[in-house]
Amino acid sequence: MSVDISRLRVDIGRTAVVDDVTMHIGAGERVGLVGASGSGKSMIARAMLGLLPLDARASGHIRYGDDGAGDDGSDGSGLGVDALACGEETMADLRGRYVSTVFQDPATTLSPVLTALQQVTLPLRRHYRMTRGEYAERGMATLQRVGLDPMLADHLPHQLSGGQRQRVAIATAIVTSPRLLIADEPTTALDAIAQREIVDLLVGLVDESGAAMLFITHDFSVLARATRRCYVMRSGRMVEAGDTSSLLGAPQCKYTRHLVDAAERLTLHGAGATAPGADRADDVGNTRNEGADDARN
Amino acid sequence: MNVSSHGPNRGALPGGGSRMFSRLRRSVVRMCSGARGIFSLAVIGCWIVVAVVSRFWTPQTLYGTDGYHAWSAPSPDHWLGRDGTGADMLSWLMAGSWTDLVIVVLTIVLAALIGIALIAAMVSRARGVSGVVTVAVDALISIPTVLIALVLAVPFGASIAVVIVACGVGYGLNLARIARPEAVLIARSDFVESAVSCGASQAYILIRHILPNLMSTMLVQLSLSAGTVVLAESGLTYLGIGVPSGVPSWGRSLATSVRFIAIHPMTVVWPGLVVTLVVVALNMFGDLLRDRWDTGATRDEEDES
Amino acid sequence: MRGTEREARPDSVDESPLLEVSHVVRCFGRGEGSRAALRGVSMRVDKGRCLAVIGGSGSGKTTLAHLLLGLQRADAGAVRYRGALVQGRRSPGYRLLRGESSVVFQNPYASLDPRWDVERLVAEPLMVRLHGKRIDADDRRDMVVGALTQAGLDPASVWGRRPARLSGGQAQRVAIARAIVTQPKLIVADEPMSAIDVAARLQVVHTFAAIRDARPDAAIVIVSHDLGVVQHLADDVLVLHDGTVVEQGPTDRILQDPQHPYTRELVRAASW
Repeated sequence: MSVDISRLRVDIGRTAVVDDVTMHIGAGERVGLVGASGSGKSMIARAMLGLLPLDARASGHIRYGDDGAGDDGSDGSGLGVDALACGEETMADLRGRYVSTVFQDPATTLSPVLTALQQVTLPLRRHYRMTRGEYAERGMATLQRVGLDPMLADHLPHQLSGGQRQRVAIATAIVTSPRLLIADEPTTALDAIAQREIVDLLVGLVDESGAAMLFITHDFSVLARATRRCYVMRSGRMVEAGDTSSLLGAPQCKYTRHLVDAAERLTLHGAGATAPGADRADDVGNTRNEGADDARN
Repeated sequence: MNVSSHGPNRGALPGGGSRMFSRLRRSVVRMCSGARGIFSLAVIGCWIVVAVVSRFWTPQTLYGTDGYHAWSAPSPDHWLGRDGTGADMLSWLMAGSWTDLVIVVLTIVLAALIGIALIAAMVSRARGVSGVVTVAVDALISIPTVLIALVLAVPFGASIAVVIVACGVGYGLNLARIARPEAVLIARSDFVESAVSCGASQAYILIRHILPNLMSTMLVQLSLSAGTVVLAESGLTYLGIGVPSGVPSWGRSLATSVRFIAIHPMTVVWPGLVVTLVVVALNMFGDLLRDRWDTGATRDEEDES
Repeated sequence: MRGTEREARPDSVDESPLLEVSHVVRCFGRGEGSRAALRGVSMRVDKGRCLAVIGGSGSGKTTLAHLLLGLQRADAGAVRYRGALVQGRRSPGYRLLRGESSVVFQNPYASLDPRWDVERLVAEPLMVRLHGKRIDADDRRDMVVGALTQAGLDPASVWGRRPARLSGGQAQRVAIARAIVTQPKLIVADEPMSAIDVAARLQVVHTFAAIRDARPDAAIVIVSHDLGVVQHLADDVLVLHDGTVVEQGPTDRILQDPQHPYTRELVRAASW
């Protein structure tokens, strides 16, 4: 499934949180959306899902289509739908079935009273009619695909670690074999080791099923691993777009350079191969006042 | 460290408390802007004015009973007619508004004091205290306010104090029970822990951090209680354990007329209407206060303009 | 270069440690369901050094930070601050520690009272800690301005703001200003860069680097799950896994030649 976002604008109150954003996610493509917190990147995801806050007004188009088959067919498969124009019914049918989401903090997005298996089968129950055994079978199979120990299937979220919880959340997102996965800062709440595992897992799952993925993050170092192409946002506007590798190598815009620089400084280089002492305190001071925190002012 | 050498000079920094008054005025103006605000402030304002005026002047003397004209219909001298003793309805309602105002204010003060004391004990770090108090509140809350009033009325007789103490205790317990979960959350929050690690005392944390952040919940609960006190006064007075006979109050006006509701319905409608208006206005007022408290204090100065 | 700078700083091996933790055990829950967060941890924090405590979630690193600050009690073992035992609120070590230490939490929006403005937030430690000696309002204002400046903020632009109107990086630096305004001997930061975005993270790293260089006497302990963010800051690294110390040593050595498999995994995770 492909998504075409054109001239999207979202206003909350008198401020435009998303302003004239145009982006494209091709079928089966992994695309990144990067920006500091408050830059409006999550609002784009919410607009795509038809889950904007009640006081938000949106204009523009978000079209779901299929690149291969031409975009005439509104055949009930969620294709040819404009997320901003269609009704809640259509969007509800789209969510969880064709478009799934993995959120930032699995501790708050998983229901505290459902076991891992129950959680995973929720979207199936919403969208498909099956027997009880089939639900459980499909759920267990999906839990296995995300690498969760089957012994943990009857555990409640608080009995799982952060990484395990995020695996359950991912399983919940992919159990219906969606055609687009929106990952909204899926690694931010996790520790370094779990972060890496989750990114690798997401990439593997998406590529295996041929689904597209929109990966939202503030961290370029994660993007390098997860996406081929990415968009950079600042204060609701798109400031740069391009191949992830070329953006990382030669960022054009000053803001992108700032983000890439921050990500680079906060990672180890070559796992101890190069001397990590090389870029220490002297040049740490250089970027001090290029702070991006005026974005909110 | 020589701090004064760097940073802006003192004049560059915005000043502190001098704008308290203008903020207060802005708050009142803002509250008046909506229909609910105008209604609740108008009703409460009228109530207070009438209550004060009634201390010095009423259209007719309160105890000007006149057996020949009991239950007489409204007339130019007696706008709302006369009650069963022939006294002027309007004068009694006006005088009653003073009694009810006193009862409401004192009850809310008492309830707030009891509630805050209980909340302080519930979030206390002293071992055992919070557990015991929580259980005690849960146990005491099951005793109805009417029962407390009945028990108090036995030694002291029917009096305004009985209404105030019974309701104050009952609503104080209620307040503590309802505010507890939030108070505990705030007490465990990072900013409280941060203050503790600075060496702040428990009293400091309660006054500076917990109560201000708890205020919106407390305002709503207290305004709800204020409305309920007016109803409770009527109820207790009707039962004969509230305001003693001969003392004007809305509950007394209702209690004397309600037996004759089938014959003289309007004599019940007037005090009933006053009570209803005031209760609704108090509840709305509480909501407005909470909204003001929530948005006003977490915004910056420049946002307010 | 940091490498040479590190050698040049006062070597405090001969001195007694500022804070010493020996064989500390801390359990949560009772009976069957009890879980040991720390199982016999020993470490020391030296004056003027910056120590990073690294571990994944559930490694016990936050519990250790709370123990260092005296916010929690050890079930077994001892915590000594400047030689005095820290045990319970009435112990002399606790009082000494409380007066000379400060803390920076993970989420600045949670650790700053939402109703307070920046001026009051930063002044709070001065008001509560020194309530015996009264500080003149002007002096207090100067100290707040100094702390904000040192934390890399422009005092005039953030002065009257409340936390909700600050960006993540600004809010965390306000929290840091709050932690340094009393001139503490020990600053413990519990995951100070995890809840904010990468650009803000770098600012906070700069802030800590500036404080470390400006205050040669103060010891800084930074708790984190990410070796990447502490590489510029820490003199020493202590790796915590499952409630035990699996490796500790100078930062360069740990980064270049990790011994324990878990440390190697951490190094790999921090390098993309």
